Amino acid sequence: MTAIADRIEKASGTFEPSARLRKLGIGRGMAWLILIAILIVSLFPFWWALRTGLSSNSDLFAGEQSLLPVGYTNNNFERVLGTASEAEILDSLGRQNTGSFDFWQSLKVSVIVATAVTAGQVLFSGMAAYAFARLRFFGRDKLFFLFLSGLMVPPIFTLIPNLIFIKNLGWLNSYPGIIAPFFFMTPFAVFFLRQFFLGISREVEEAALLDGAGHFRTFFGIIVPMSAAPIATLAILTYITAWNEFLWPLVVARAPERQPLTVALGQFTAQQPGTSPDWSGLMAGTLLAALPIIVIFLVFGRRVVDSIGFSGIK
Amino acid sequence: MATVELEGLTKIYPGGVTAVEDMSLSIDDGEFVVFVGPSGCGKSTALRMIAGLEEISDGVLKIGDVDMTSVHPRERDIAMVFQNYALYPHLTVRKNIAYPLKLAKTPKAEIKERVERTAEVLQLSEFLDRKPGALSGGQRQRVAMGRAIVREPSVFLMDEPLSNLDAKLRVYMRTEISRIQRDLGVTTIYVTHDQVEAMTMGDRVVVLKGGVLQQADKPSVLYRNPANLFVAGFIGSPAMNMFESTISIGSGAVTVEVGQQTVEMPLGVLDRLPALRGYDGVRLACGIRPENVHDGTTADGMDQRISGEVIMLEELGSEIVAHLEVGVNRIDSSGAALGSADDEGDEYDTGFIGRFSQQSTTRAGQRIEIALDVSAMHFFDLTTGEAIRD
Repeated sequence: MTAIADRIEKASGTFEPSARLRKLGIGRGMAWLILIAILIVSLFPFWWALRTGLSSNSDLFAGEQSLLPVGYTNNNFERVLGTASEAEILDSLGRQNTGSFDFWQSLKVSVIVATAVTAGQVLFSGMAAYAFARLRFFGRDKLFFLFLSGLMVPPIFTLIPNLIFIKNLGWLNSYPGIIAPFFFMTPFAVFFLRQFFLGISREVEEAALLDGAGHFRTFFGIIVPMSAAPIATLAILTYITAWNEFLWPLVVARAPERQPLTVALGQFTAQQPGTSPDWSGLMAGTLLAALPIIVIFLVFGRRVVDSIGFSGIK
Repeated sequence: MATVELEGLTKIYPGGVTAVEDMSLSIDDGEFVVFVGPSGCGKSTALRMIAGLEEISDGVLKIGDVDMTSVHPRERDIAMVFQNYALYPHLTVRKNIAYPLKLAKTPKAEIKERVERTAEVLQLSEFLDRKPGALSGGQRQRVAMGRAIVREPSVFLMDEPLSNLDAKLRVYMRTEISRIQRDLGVTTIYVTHDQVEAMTMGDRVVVLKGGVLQQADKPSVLYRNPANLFVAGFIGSPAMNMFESTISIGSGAVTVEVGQQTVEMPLGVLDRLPALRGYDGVRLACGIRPENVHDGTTADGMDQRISGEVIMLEELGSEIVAHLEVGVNRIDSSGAALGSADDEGDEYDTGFIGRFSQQSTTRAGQRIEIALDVSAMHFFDLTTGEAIRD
């Protein structure tokens, strides 16, 4: 008995450190190093944008090797937000502020466009996905695969036809014009939700049917709440995509008051002929434009990752 | 509460597969009818046709004398309990039970009252504010029952509602469902593949095979007078021993061949089964239930005996199930020889089975004398599988 106890004690005595060592083994160490490297590579652009945004534009080229802000100032952020005085602008830029970029107006456009696109896409994609997953109608599966083949069409192909269409509707420089091509659905969103709906027990829907619910009530009252996680994921992904959309609003919204942040920020580099680009202002504006999305991802990131992992998609 | 009439109900799937064929049945008001049969026999399809979840390919369905063949499910005034409970996971027990009432636009006060009354009947009152995910299997099953009961429908449909529960809970819920059904007096159609469930719960049991109704009768009648080989083999556990045989009608007795051996039945059997006269010297199927097969040493007063070898014994405490070899050509419920290539059933060769009393001292490997209660023998036509009766 004592011999066994001794052996256990000895074993546990020698086992502990070796287990700990194994935990910190070469493989694990390498994994950590690689992860840290990836993290640095991923985060460095953000840091560089922040560092440039906090640098004085006139000192920027003098300290281009510096990892820290050169001639620290928060004047660039104030300029983008429209709270800087003329004197401060002159001091920071070394010249008059020639841009006419209204951050708050563009932010409003971005929020309206992204919200409308997300609401429309989630609603219509959800209904289409439910129809493809559950309703019985002639040629359903063939139609679905035809629809899915839309994933193969590069967005650039549809740009010109869509532009002509929107122009003919008289929707250039308007919210409907910016929103319309993305409002109804995308093959990916339909495919994504259809996979989830297929996984929901058919008995639950049949129970709802016998309880007296029609298709609409079953969808909105039972299916949507049961699919809250994937629907939220889709909404977040759609919001991010809509927020970052550049090409379509660039061609369809020439008027500054209808330009979302992505397009309006582009004006920074183009609007000062004969002068070097206003890098500090551009970086400050870019960071501010990305802030809402960064916040959304920080809050809901875990849910998005879980949901995508769970769905086996991507 | 209502009667249910099935008149030639048929279901043919688009691929041409016939799931239910020409099923006719009349179910009384307040009756508890159980559809039973092996997997794929069409019992669930028949139930789903009554519910309106499957289109009826042919035939007429009447509920309470009203033709419901093409009526939308929600207008049939039926409630269904599903195998996987089909609860709404995002709603509390209270909201789950109240859901059909809410859709029927029942006043809020009445919903509250009826939900609480239902919860009380099902002993769910303390779980009303929980979600289904926080309940055990038995509690979920009761919530599903509650959602059906609360509507006070004309007909309850239950599709294998106990198959996901463990054995002990299943026995408890079996009695609970029977009690609730009796208290409410609602016409109930219950589907199961478990013949014990069918026999213990149903006022009437409907046996199906390959989409065709085989027999619909009281459990005791099914057991004592099976209409054909299939019902004889399906109802009863362990199953009836069925084997090929020939009878010869003599002047004093009817001799029945049991393999190479024979037993004698009094001529009175011909009064009970007059059609048997036509089978003198013809190959037929003979069946005897295990409880009519005894150890000769403990069966006083039974003079019809054969000899056989004990292959294996299963001691159950109250009795001993004996697997015997008596040299017969055993057949399965489709009438095919056991183990033959055209055996379409899912039966296994378990030997000739007897249920011996616990006083039996027999051992595996012994050759013993076996007493047969010949008055309980069944006879079937080998070609049609039908019982030879009158």
